[in-house]
Amino acid sequence: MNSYALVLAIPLAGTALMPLAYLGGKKLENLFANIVVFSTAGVALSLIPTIGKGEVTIMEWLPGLVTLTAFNDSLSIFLVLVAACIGALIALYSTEYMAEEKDLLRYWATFTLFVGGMIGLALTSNLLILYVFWEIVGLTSYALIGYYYTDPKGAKAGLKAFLTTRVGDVGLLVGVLALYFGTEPHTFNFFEIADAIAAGQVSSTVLAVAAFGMLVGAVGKSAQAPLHVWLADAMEAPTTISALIHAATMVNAGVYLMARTYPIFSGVPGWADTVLLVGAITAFLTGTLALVEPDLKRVLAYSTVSQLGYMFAAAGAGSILATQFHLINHAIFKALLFLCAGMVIHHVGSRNMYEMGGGVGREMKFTGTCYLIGTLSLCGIPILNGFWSKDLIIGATVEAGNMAGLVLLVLAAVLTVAYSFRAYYLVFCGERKGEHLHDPGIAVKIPLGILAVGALTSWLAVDFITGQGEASGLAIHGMNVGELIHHTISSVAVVYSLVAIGLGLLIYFAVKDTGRAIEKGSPGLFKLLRAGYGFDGFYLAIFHGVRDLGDTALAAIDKYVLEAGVNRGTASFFVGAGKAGRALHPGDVSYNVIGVVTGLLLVIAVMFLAV
Amino acid sequence: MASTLMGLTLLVPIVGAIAVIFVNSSRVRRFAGGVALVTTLLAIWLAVLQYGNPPIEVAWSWIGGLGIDFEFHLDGLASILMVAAAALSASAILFMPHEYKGQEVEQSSFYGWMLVFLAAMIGVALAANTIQFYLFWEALLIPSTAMLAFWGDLENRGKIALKYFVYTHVGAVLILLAILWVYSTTGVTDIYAFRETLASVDPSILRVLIWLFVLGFGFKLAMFPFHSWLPDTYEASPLPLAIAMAGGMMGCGIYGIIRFVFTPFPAEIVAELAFPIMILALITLYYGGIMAFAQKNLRRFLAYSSMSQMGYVLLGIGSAHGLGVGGATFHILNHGVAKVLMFMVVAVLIYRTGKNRLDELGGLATTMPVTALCATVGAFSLAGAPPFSGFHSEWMIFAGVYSTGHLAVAVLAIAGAVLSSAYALSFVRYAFFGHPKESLQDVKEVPLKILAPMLVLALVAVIVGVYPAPFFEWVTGALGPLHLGI
Repeated sequence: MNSYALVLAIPLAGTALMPLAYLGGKKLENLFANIVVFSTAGVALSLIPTIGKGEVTIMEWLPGLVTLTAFNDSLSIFLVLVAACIGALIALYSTEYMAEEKDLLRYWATFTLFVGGMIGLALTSNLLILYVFWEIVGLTSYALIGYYYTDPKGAKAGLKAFLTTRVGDVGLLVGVLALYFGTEPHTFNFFEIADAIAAGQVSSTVLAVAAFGMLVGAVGKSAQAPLHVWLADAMEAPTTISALIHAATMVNAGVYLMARTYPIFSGVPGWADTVLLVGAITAFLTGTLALVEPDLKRVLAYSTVSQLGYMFAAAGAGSILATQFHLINHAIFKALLFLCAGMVIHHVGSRNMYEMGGGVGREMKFTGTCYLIGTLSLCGIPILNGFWSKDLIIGATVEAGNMAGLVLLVLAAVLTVAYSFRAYYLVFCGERKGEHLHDPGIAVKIPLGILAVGALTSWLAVDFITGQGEASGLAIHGMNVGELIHHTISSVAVVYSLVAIGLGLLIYFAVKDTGRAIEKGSPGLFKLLRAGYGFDGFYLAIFHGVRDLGDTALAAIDKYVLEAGVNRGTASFFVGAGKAGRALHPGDVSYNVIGVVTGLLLVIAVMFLAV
Repeated sequence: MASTLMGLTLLVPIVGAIAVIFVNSSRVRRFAGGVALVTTLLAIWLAVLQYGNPPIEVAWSWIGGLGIDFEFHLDGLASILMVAAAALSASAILFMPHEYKGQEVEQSSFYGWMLVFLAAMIGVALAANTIQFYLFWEALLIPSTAMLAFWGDLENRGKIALKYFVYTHVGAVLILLAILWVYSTTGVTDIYAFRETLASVDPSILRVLIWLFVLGFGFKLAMFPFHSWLPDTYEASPLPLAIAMAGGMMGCGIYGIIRFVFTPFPAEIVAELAFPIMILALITLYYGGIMAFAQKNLRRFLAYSSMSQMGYVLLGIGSAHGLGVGGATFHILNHGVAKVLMFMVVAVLIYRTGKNRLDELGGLATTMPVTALCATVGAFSLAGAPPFSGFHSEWMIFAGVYSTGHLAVAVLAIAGAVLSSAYALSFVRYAFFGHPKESLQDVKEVPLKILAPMLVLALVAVIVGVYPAPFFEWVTGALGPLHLGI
């Protein structure tokens, strides 16, 4: 078994064996799950030396049709590393965070299944298997959003997340099938498909269907507009899960797909621009929502969506490096922010920033410092990791010459600073008004510390990241730290970035709490933002509308047209007239027959219409 | 060897049905369950023998002087139906908890009828000629109508039994008409010679014949607009019968349409049919799905979900592509497993809470965690989500539909999976999640012997989903000789 099979097999076997650990009690569950996830991370690290341009075969899945093959380039391996390493840190953190739960079987079984699913998604070069893992991570996301299932909000949010992403998955599957049937001989293998496209064997119509289909799938998974509505609600999940699935890993799947397919789809007219604009619009749109959100986790969720928008824009601009770099940096600082927020929420007992009592930073100094580092990085303050990658993204947009995208992204950067500092101010600054708090234990401090150091320094790995990217044959040029600094300070993008930060800080110092300021200044706008521009309401109306359609119109067809054949009045006349043989009343039979005949006529009508 | 086994597979349930009369009524359920289990094991054994080999053929002289023989024929397609029908009917008989008081089914004749029902399904799978097929097809109808009329759960069960009889009988008559027409034009009754026979028949006759078959089997599959018997029947049926119908009888319908429509008719005739069938299939898929979504009654919910799932099957068949028909064939197994699992969950809910409606349930995951897990697996399988078995049939069907080049039909078909997810997961949500209702605080999880069949089915759904290779080869192997290789 090669290490590619192993890195996939360990977490999946862990899921299967978790019920045995359950029999040994909670301590054993924690221990076993951590062993599983840490050894997965270990194997994942051992994949680094194998990075190259090829493909690794793992197993035949559907004989003669689908073989599980894996990419070994840095685009895939780095995503595996993010999933496994951040997964390991969060697994450690969970031992303290989830300590009050009665048992953790469901939590750990889905946790490890998620890690395995995410690794499979990142690795596989077979599009059908990509779809399979894509759905598996969606399923674990559903299960973990509804982890606290007695809370109706959690159950509802899980369903909403699954259905919304499944709308996107329709597009993904259409795209996959388009490529399968568009190649000759038919194949799901990415390399074979890429070769066929390069050789001009795939028609432009097929390519367009595939490109936009997969874009819809990516939009669903990465919660981009207009399918962004599920991610904020997904915050009903335990905060560890919000950090792992809904910030650091799963939601990156869509970004990964765009970066992965950019080389084959970039020639499709309008595709790259659409990807860029979807990202830029989302980054701006959800940034505005975060300004007024009172719930700390939902603010972070909106900021995740907004940052994913940046990555989308980078992919659309064709900069694989900027996409990948920001994906890694964001995973680190956003996991950090969520894990800090989780501890705060855990201790103060509320997610609402106005009810937290403020001044948390004075009493949870370690947590507060880590959160501040995460915030600065999110805002793209030099020299934290978020600064470098965000700058690359803005630079790539400038190069792509997309003015609308550039303006939206710069405005989104302004908003990012405003809402991030607002959240920090509301939660951590000022005098403490609530009960006294204390910093968490060592199992939490270690992951927080590692991630905080990562947020400060991960950009120094640019040499490694670009070097591996170049070795993988991606469109990335090797670049050392000196070159990165030179590239950054000599580009026009850095001016936009710094102006954006300045404007954001100006807003912050002027009003501190943008939420209250907007509420006072423009109640109409406040209402619009709190309603999420009405997207949620619109989708909910469709959801209920479909059900009502079944309740009314179709039920009526069933009852009056098909079943009775003729109206009930006549039927009851016959039934009333012949009570004796009610059960076997001939009248009803004849109505049934009339119903059947009506049906037959309908079918014949369809036949003639269709032929 | 194989011929003896084949005879036994058919005879065991028939003899068992008669022997039931002599069994003490307190033991009759266990006895019938044992007979069904033995039948299932024989069927699996037979299927394993057949796997990868040429069809097994057997002929017994019945009324020698008149030249009427019983001819049986087992190929891959038939063995899929045989195993699915036997295993799922057996689980229906074995499943019902002993202390179940929903209806008084502890009567010899009920289980006798159940075994006849099982035997008829195996007969449908094994039949080698059209007359015999029709006999077994009608034999399906008699026990089910009887059970529905005598042991049904609703006051108006007699009326519903009659409706069921009329609807499915109209379908059977259309099939009979087609069978006789073929016989009168060509003199052929051998099902397995249909392909060669029909090649020489005038296309204008073939066009009528193929519609007779499609509509005939369409009744059984609850194809729109012939579906209205299904919700009533599921609602009124005694639960074991409903489970056997959902698992086995639906499979017979799928089998019939593949056997009689999509393999013997010349490709160009089938091609003409593809588009109209796919349109009917889409209507069936969405109509059933939306109705299932709106249903509060648990059993009617399952009925409409079956209808919707048959929409998938019809889509796959209508695509006339190897993957699509393969997916439809695979769905005999996968839909059967998922739907029987869901039916068992519903039966357990009715049994434990005494409630029939979804809006009277809520929060049961706390007190019934294992049932909740089974329901979730069943729901995801129905929704066609990996890593559960339903995914494989559905993606194959979608691929088949895509291959026809009707992009809009393909998109609508795939979007149907969103609807399936909506109704299946809404069921899980409203029954199991949220706060436990006041009246449901004392509900307890059912004992292991009731959970066992559910857990086995859930496990099957996971195994087929995760490691599909042998099952996939079974399906592709079954379709290979039918000129529908993938």
